[in-house]
Amino acid sequence: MIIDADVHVAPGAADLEPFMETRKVAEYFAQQRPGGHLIARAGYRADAYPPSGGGAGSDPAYMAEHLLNGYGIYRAVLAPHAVLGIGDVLDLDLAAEFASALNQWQVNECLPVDDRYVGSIVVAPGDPQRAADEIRRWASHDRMVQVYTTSAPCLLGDRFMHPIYKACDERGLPFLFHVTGTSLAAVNKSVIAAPSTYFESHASMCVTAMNHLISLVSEGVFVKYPSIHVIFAEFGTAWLPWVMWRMDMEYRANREDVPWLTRTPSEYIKDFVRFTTQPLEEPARPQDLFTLLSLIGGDRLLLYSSDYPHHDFDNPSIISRRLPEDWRDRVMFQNAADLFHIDVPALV
Amino acid sequence: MATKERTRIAFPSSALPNGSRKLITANRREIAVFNSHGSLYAVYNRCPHHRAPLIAGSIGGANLPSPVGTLRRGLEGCVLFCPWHHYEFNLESGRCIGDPRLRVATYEVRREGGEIAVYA
Ligand code: FES
Repeated sequence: MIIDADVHVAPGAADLEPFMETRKVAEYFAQQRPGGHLIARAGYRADAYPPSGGGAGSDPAYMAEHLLNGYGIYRAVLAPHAVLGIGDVLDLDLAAEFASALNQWQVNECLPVDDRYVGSIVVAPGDPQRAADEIRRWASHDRMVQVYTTSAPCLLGDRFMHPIYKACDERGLPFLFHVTGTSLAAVNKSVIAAPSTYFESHASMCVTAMNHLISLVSEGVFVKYPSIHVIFAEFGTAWLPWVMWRMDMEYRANREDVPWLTRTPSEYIKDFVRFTTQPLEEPARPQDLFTLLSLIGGDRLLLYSSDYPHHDFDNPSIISRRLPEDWRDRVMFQNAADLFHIDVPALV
Repeated sequence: MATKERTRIAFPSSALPNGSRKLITANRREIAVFNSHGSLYAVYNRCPHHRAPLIAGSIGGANLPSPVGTLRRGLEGCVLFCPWHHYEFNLESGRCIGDPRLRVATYEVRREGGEIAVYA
């Protein structure tokens, strides 16, 4: 069984226009800055373009056939592609209206297409109060299972962001933070400068996640909002042991800076944070990754994700085979089922 | 050592014009056949990385090893880019340029009269 925790539906401008109230989709795309350099080749699987025309990910019916039937996916968590870079849109009203349009589009045009789809409440992080209103607007929809954004204007633990976490906490919704496609500088202003090539940018993704994760724990987000879970999407995994060990060491030495933490930082991470797998690191001996992650209880932390229809798709049958036997169910579906309250049939 | 009998699969040359590709099946294996600028190549249709269908890949050249800050193009028409993660495969050898331990199976392919024949 497979639950895919990161599937990028990618509606075209014409699909979304009817859901914009006062602004035009083109205004959003003109301001969206997903990155400074583009990948040399298309960022989508060359075989993921729907025969009906339109871009990869734009046709939920084709996606159900190609991805869900093709790989036997039980549930797919939709994460609309156009959200990449939403935090960099300077016109906050425009970003918020676009987020609302994406939510209405998912509910009207995706969820009815296939029962296996569940949606994400998209929010624009530049105006957290308005984002919280958007969360409350959709929270009672039983198939909108998480809150989703990218490219925060500050470190994630900053109290500027807390209205979003408060709404998630109230409604029991996980908060997913996704890497922005092509520019680290666009994801996190604390990076010293933007890298010069896609190679360099893509290889550096974990840097921003380390900053954000350390910030979330240190600023006491998991103390203030004990019902929240945070998901890091597409930032990698093998850097986690270092962050946990380093934070625990800091806690022993510098606890006085963060006296609200009553447990070690690594314990908060294990209880409150999850990581999507794609793109899963590929050491020369694949099992070395799991040997490393077993030191931090990795079987509980990972959620399988494909990143369909992006070109760097992780094939679930390859990932599943690579996982240690006793991790397989947890990573391929059980961790996600627990997090998103998805019922899974008992396996015989 | 006994050599295994190879299967010959042939089709009219007109079915694979310059710049085109064709999927054939031999012994239940899918094989992607390419006509790149008149040169013919045949590879197993599954990428050794995550099993992408290589028939959907694109063909071009590669940046060869070069001094820092310079680019040197080469192997034009002889490099297959996987449609998923963009690994580059040399169509002659089947080897992945970025990791020669990865290799996709290649098959002999030649023109025979008005036909193109693949030996798998
Ligand atoms: S599947 Fe071909 S490069 Fe990954």
